[in-house]
Amino acid sequence: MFIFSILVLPIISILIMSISKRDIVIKYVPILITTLSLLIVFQFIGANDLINNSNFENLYVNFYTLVKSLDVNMSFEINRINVLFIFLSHITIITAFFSTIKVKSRLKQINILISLISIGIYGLILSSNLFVFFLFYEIAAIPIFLMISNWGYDLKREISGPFSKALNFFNVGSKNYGSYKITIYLFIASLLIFIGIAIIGSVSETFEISSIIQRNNNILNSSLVFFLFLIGFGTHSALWPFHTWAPDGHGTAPTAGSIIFAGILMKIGLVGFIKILLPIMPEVTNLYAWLIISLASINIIYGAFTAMRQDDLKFMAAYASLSHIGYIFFALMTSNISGIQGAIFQVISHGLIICLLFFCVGCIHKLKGTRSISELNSFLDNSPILAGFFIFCAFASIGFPLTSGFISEFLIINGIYKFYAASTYKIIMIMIPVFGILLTTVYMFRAIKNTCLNFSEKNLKFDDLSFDEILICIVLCILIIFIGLFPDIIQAIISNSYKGLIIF
Amino acid sequence: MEKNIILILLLAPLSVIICFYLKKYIFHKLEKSYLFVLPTIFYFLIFLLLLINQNDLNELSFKYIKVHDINISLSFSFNHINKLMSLVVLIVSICVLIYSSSFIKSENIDRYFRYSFFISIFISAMIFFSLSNDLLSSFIFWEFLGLCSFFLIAYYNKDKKAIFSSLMAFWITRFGDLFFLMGIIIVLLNAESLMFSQINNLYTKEYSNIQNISLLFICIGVLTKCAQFPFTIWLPRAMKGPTPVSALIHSATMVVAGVLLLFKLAPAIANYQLTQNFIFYAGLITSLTCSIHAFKEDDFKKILAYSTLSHIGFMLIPIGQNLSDLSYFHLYSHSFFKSMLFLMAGYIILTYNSTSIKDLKNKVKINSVMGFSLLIGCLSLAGVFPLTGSFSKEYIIINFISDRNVVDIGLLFISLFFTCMYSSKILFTVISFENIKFNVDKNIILLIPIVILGIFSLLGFQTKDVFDNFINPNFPKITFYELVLIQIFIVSSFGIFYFKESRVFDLSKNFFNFSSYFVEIEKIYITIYKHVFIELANFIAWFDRNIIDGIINFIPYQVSSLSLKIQSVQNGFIRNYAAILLIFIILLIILLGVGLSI
Repeated sequence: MFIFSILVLPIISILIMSISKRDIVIKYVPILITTLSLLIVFQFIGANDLINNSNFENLYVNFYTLVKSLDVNMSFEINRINVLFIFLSHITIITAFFSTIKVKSRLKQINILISLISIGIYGLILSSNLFVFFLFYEIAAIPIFLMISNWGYDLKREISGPFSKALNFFNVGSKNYGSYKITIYLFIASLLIFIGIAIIGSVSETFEISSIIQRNNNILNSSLVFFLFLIGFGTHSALWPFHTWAPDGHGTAPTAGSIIFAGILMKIGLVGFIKILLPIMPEVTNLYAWLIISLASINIIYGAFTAMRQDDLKFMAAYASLSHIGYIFFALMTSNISGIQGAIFQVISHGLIICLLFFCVGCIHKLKGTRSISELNSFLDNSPILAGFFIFCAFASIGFPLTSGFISEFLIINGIYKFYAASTYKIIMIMIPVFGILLTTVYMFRAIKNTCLNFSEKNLKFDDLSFDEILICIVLCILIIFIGLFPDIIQAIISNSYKGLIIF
Repeated sequence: MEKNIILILLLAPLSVIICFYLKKYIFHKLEKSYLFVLPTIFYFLIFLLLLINQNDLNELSFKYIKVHDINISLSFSFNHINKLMSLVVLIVSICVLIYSSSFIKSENIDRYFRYSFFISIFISAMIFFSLSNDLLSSFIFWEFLGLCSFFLIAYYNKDKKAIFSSLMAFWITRFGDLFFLMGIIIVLLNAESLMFSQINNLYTKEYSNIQNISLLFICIGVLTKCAQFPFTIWLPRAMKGPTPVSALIHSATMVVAGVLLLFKLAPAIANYQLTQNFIFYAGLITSLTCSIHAFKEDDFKKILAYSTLSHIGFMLIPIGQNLSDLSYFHLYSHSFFKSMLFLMAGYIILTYNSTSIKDLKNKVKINSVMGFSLLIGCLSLAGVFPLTGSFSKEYIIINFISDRNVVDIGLLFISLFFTCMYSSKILFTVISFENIKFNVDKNIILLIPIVILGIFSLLGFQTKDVFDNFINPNFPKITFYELVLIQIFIVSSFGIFYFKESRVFDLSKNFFNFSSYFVEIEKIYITIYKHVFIELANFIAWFDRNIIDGIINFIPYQVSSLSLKIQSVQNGFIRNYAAILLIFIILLIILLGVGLSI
């Protein structure tokens, strides 16, 4: 019932939106319906008493069977980690709906697209069958193309270097380029994942994730399948060097698009990692852990350094999220309790923080007409509330204590230290994430200094956020602080469900 | 009782927000200074509560997080050490709150709110920090101190330099904080707990290199927050902020927080010689170079800033000598007169609208309230008997002499000499000893806090009593003979300055050059930032957009240009098709022939 209602509610909202002609319905009905769905999630957590009840059994539902011999079922499963991810994606979707309230042209279409993406995301997170996983994955990927090409922005980009001919040829920076690039990227990734799924499913003669783990076929030790999955999921999560869709995609997309990319799309790869790669192929992952760790370290440092020199706030945020995703990959490979918990915390905390950051950037763009760090100034005097939220984002993303960022950072560094406890390089290994945090401080506060603190006599126009914008920002802030203040509640919800992710 | 104190601490910043919104949207007639009234009352209430409860209150702990099956809770202890520190912080902060309400009254309501909000958060965080009984809660509130300092330094944001200073202060302290965080994590996995008692217990029992590294990391964190030797520069720059903020944050509370932390970890540090030496020499170098540099400066607030640094160096020296009680003694006796001097500087600067000490020549009358307080402050700085600054300093000097070699003692005395020099510089320049009439409009609200702190600065014997009764009753007393010797040294230094002022300046030129090497170390940081970080970031940003993305784009580019070439085959001319057909037939025949002949 829970799964069914979560998957059906967005469809209802699509139907209402497509019938109605009044603006107010189109603006607020999807928000209300998503909130309702969020309440159902809370009700589920409360009814099963996930916080105190340690005996919660994973809920498994099979709606109908498609191919009996290969176990292709429309089956879904809820476990403790899924509930958290579902919660996060609800928050992201609500934020995306709030960001479209001020969109003037074709509001109905963009809200329908967001609802479609939300169906894909929920299904993907809840799926317990590789086939279902792929099906919902495709549902989520297609609307993105339409979103960028219709509501996106054109950008200018300076080109030099040996490949300038190729870059000039494609008219890089335009919204069409962005939409094509992201779509082609994501579809190549999905192709690789599809091949991987097909190989595993047909050799093990089942597509159910749990029975694949049970049968433990020899194919699960194949490096080829591992690399298919790694590149596929890695591309989705912007793992270096498959990350170049992220800045272009974020930069050209509308605010709602950016929020969904950062809050959800980048998480698809991680969901794949947590759901598929780690549980079913632990041995190969163990073998190539060094590769993932080094790519993740590159992500952390490289993303942070790149973000330091961006002028466009959205590009800065895009590279920042690149850097923060690196922590998650690093932590997933540490394979101990605090590392895995840190990774899950970071998924949630990054999702919330980046939503707020992109939402603020969207508001800045709307109010001031530009996103360039060098042109913006004196927020603290002209629009104090906006400045307050923006500064809050910066503090949350550098892992300031009592925000969710600190918890994940603390757990991740603990996990890394524990992982290398026997080795002599442990100090150097914990310095990688710490150096990343230092660089985050540098670029975030460079942006804060220029946009909020700097004072200019020229721009003395007082304008600030409207009521609904403040509302959603406050909700996000409260969530971020709540996780920072009471991490033990989330830890209790995660409980012992990370067992499958410990691969060493 | 304990919970009430915690609750009131949280209530104080909240009351500022509520008052602000009440005034902004409902009661427009309220005075702006109401924003300061409620926090002041709350903090005074806490002051009374802490003062009434002479006995040690219970510990409080809040369950926070679980790492590797180790339950970590945030715990706050109300023992006499923590309580005394909180009382000192509360006295200074109540004075500063009263002072601020008048000091910034010309600002508009939004800026007024920003100021009062951050300062009340700061005070609450500082008291939490003083009460904290484990490393994690210390770290949490330690970071809050940095946050408030960042916003309050940048308060005058029309001044580009103020913003730059705040950013620099934040970056440098954050750098240290991250070392502190790494230290905490290493400690956590070694000691399996973050409570000070357990850490001290474990670290005194066994010695290992990794524990030494963890303590070193924590010390780096402390040095950045205390602005000690390699990180000195952010504190003098932070003087761009409002003066009451300097009085509270950058002299009496935040910058000495690190000393308090080391004091709590002192038994652990006692076992590690390397860490001790590290702290000792950082303290010695800072106290030497900063006292010399303070003499060189002409800006009133900067002299005070460098003198703060030199005094913090003085507090670190005993920790390096395994006599941490003395550093705590100096910590609380230092805070009253230093914050008073800052408030005084603020008042004088506000009246005469200049910060340079040369413009302020002979502006303050000796037989006025201000003149008398300034006299007390300057004499306390130098350590004249029996003011607050004197006893702790004498204890430190005497124990230093008995423990160290000649070179160290020489350096210490040079530092002491210059301390006397800059205090006499302020004293003889600003105060006029002749009875001339000045027209200074008296602002009572600004004067009351100065007088309160001035009275506390006079209570030298009482501070000593507190040390003897609460902190270390068994400490060897200094003899009368030692006391007189030091006092002669101090008084004669004053005399040297008074009679031979120009000669002293000539002689100390070499010292100025020497100290500026140490103090102007910021150039190295700026060079590193500009030439390593920015250049590297520029390169990586270029590399990402042009090489990696170039390669990514190059593949479809090749595909599409290949398709263009193939497309040209189909150009519609019949003779081309015929030629291609002919070529294929010839190739086919040749291949057939080759195949048949084999």
